Amino acid sequence: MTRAGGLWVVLRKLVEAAATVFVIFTIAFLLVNLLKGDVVENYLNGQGAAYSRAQLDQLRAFYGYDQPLWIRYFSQLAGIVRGDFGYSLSKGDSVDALVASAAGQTAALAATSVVFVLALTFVIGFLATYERVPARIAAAARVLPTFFSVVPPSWLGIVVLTVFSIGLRVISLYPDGGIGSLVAPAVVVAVCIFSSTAQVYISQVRKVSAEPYVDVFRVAGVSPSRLYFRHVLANIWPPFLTVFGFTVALTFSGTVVTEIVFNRDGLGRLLLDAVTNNDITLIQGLIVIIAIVFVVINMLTDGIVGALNARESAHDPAGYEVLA
Amino acid sequence: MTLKKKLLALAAIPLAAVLGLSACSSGAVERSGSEASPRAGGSLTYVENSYGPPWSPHLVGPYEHSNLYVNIADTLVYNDPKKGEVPYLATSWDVSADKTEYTFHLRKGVTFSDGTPLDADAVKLNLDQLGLGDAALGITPLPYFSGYVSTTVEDAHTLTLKWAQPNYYTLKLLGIPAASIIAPSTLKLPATEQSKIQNVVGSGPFTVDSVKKNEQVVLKRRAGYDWAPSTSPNKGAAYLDTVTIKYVGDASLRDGALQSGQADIVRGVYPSDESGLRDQGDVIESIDASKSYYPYSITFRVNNPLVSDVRVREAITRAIDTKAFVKSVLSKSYTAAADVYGHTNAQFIDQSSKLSYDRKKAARLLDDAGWSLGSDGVREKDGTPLKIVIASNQNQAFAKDFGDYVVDQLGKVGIEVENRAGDNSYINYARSFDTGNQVALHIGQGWVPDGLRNFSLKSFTNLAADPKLTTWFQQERSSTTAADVRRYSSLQQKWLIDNYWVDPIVDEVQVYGSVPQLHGVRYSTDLGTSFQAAYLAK
Repeated sequence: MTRAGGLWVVLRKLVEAAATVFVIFTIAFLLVNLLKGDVVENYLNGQGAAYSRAQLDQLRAFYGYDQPLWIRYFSQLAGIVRGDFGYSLSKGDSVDALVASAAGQTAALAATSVVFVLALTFVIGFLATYERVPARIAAAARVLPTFFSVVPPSWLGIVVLTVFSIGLRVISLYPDGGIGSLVAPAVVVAVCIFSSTAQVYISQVRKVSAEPYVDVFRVAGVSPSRLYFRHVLANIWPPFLTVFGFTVALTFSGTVVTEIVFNRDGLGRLLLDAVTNNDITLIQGLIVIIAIVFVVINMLTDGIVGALNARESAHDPAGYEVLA
Repeated sequence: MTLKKKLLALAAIPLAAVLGLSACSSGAVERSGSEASPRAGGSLTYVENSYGPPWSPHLVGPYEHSNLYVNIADTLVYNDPKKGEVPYLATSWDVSADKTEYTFHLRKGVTFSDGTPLDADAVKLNLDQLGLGDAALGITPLPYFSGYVSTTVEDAHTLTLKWAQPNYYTLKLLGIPAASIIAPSTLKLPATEQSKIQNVVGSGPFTVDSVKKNEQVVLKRRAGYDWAPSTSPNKGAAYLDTVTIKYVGDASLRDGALQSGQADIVRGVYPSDESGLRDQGDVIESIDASKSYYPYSITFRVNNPLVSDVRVREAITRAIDTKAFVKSVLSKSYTAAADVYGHTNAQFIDQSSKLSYDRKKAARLLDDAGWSLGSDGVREKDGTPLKIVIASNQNQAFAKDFGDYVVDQLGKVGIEVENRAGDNSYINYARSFDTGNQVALHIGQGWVPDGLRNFSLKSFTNLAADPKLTTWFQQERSSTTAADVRRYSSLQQKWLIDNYWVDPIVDEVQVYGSVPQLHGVRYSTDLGTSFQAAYLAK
């Protein structure tokens, strides 16, 4: 691959990403405008007093909800290009400010969750596949991921808080900046979503272990641990990383429920509140922002997989072909 | 703490839920420490239900909104639960002979927390926005202030409010948290900026120190504050250094916060947790809200074909055994309602005979109305099954339990009910002028600072209006004597129950749990929870 070719690939990826975001914005815009209900009406009704139609119309005009659809479409598109995602009436703040305050929280939670996903994946995956682990433990480790994938995070969250915060009093019930109030929700998210990475780890290790070259190494007297870590694990990465990328994206959906149970600010909670209040500006802003995050993660994963493939073929031109 | 104790504490939550029904301990409030010597200093943690923006002033928001505003701002009048309307920022007032003009004399030396004076000009700006709104800034007038004409500044500390016709509720309205007097620097901002709590400047005993959206608001004591309501036991600045308001949506976790020492006071204790917390030594208080709120009630959407027949509405009312619900699911903190006003409201009339439980009568009424039992146990008429969906607001921790109870009770007379209480997007759908009439019942409580507005006018509660009710409501509001208010109010109260527009369930209260060391929390008639006189004893 030439240097200019690489640049061309990057450029093409960026254009694809921008097009994806544009299409998602357009679909989101059309869908939220089909929603029954009205954020201005919810805002007034939320105040508990009987308002008149005239007051409702006046406020609709103030916030621009009375404009024709196509004018709103283009003005919002222009706003997004400028980084302005509109004003959320139900939250009384601009979408960017809300996201800015929530994103850091969600990112911290998601990043910590990812660490635990990896830890759980490797520990469980190792126990399930390493040949010297007793068969009973290995069998248990193989079913654990499936078992946890059906545990609802809201339930697990309440259990964790009841046991560790209210009962044992070792973590705070609310986010207090301490490590415990970040680790607890992160573990809950990780436990509920690590099944796909664990399963791909297990299946890939088994697949690679069945390759003839592994038997060759074994016959040649390579120790089981060296065989496992040097020769088997080294070859599970490309499919593993693809699934891992999805799981990273999935942590964001895992955070929705966890943020509410653990009384945290975050993107998931914001999205739920937006839907509840028919706050179409906020729903749309969040969809577009989350789409951007997904697209970027996808690009990065593709990039890493591509680089690994390139390295693999450069390193061992005639060697092992990667399974896609 | 030993492991055994920890495990016991751990077991206490489900235990409290199990024992709650049988082991009701005495309701006596026992607080520790000396009442006579308030302790200055300390930090209080107050756990609220849900972070409630927009934080715009002059907005009748949920309890979360009032409970913040009474701590950071003051009102002209204070709605004292025992003594009625008493002096606050206004030290006295005169009323014109025709009762359309109120002249207020302001306390001198009051400043907003940005240092600007709280004078007649500042109050006028507040009243103008409350009464007239400001279209350019996107501010709608508060409906309670309809009929507002103007405010005239007489001198720096005197102003006159003018109504188009008498408004009997003038003083009470000026005491609600939505009528907080806010600094002009805030009020000159557009609505999109007034909604941010960090932009709101008041004159209250605390100022907003920091905000973490959806998680907490920290209030800091304002030194030099000395303009508390005349009935407050503390004439000066707050005793507490800071108040941290935390937001926890789940009622059992809020109770757990109190139980585990992570909160000093929580609002919205779950009924079945009350006795467990009391046994642990915490104080459970049921704060009466009937002077400002109508009871937790079912409002029928009379324009919905399923309940347009008064016999169906009476049948639903009669089929639900409210007293049994209060007794079996709630606690001694609650009282079954007997009118569209709660028992402690001055206008209360006992109408319980029209609301009493009578399942046989309910079945007969449904038969008479042409709804006959189908083979599947659900009544039907002309092929339409009697299936209803219920929506409830979220201001009570028991909302979902009540929904389940309604499903059971109405099921016994052949009405199929789907419980959507707790589904916030459904309540929004149910309240909309466009879609709301597709939902036959609306459940919840609401404000009554100036009469039965939510029932007697077309509102999101009933989505219907009756000309008689509207006339009586206006006559009540413009009355000048208590006798006239009583006359026009009782006409509305009786009409609403006689025609089964409303089925009141439980008088509105908010149940607070707090540690025994906490003293002096002040609840206004409007249920603003003020910490100006609060302190934590050693």
